[in-house]
Amino acid sequence: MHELSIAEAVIKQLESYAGTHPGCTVKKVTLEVGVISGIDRSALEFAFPLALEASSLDKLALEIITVPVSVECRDCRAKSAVDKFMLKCASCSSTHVKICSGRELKIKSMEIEEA
Amino acid sequence: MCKNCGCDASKDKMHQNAHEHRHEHGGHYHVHEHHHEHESGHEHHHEHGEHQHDHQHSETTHVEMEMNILSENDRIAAENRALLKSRGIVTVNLISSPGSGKTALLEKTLDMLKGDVPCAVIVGDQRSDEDAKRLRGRGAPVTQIETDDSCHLNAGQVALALEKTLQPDTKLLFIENVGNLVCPAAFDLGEDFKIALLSAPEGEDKPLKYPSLFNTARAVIITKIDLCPYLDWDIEKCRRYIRGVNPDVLLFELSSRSEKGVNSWISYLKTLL
Repeated sequence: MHELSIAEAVIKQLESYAGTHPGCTVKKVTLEVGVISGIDRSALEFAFPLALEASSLDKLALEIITVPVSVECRDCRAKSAVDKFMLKCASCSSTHVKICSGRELKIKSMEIEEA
Repeated sequence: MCKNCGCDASKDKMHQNAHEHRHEHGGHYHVHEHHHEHESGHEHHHEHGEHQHDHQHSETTHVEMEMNILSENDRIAAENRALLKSRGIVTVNLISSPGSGKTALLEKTLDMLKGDVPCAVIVGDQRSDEDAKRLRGRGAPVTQIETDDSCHLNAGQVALALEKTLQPDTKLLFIENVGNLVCPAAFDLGEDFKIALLSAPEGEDKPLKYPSLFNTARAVIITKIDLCPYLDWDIEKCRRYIRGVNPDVLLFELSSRSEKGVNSWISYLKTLL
């Protein structure tokens, strides 16, 4: 539900980059969005162009990399992917696991064009 | 492999020679920009899904960012946290769906801590000061934040509210977030930790359906347990689901109305100070 805020936060950072790098135009941004970040990919894809329109930036491409949930077992140290969101080690079934990935909400990279 | 876009350039003659290629990613096409060493002024053709266009070629550069999208919020949250810590104030961020009993629990909590622990409250809703009205007159300063259309509090709103809410003797700050089981979990406000509430009528499966909140909370409070006899409600299943998404979480089960279980919550709060 807060995908528009997220889109606006991304654009604000891109604007700030463009502001400190005169002559640079951002052509594409790549985001990493974890499965349990609370962000819905399609809602973000919908919100992004709307936020872009209200910004000082020209049209640019959005790429979203979805990051699956993975855990590390505190008992057997195995690392495994989590299918449904039941935190459990795939190797020994222990529930004493820590989350290694899946919460990401990151700007991974950009493509910029220099005049 | 192409160092600019990651495609397999050795197999992609189009890429090398004709400067036109496209990638397919899960049903949609998009074009990768390239850095070309050849002379400028050359016509370059790209295909973007539904339309095609020609444009002048120019230099593109890949910039690694590795930056949190909410880094501005996180920066302000860190300032809030530093301020609260320097004043020795413990801060909890209460998050739940609307109507699960955050305000009722705070009413009871403020009443029980009055004269013993100096508390303060910041409460967020999209509109109205109904919650602040309920919480005032219980010995703690209360600030209402109206977020308008926003579905969560952010660190900047809390920073402004801190100035007018904190008293010289404040020890415990409650932030009652906007009623929402999803969005508030993503926004750090500068709290020491989050507490999730889940009322019995909501159903025992909510932790599985909304794991991002239940997984990040230090404690989960099951509220309205006085209603259990009237519900098809399996509290054991609920506990199992909560532990399934957050194995080490603290669990409270209480009714603010009947006061059952409230004492252990109050005792827990006192251990935080």
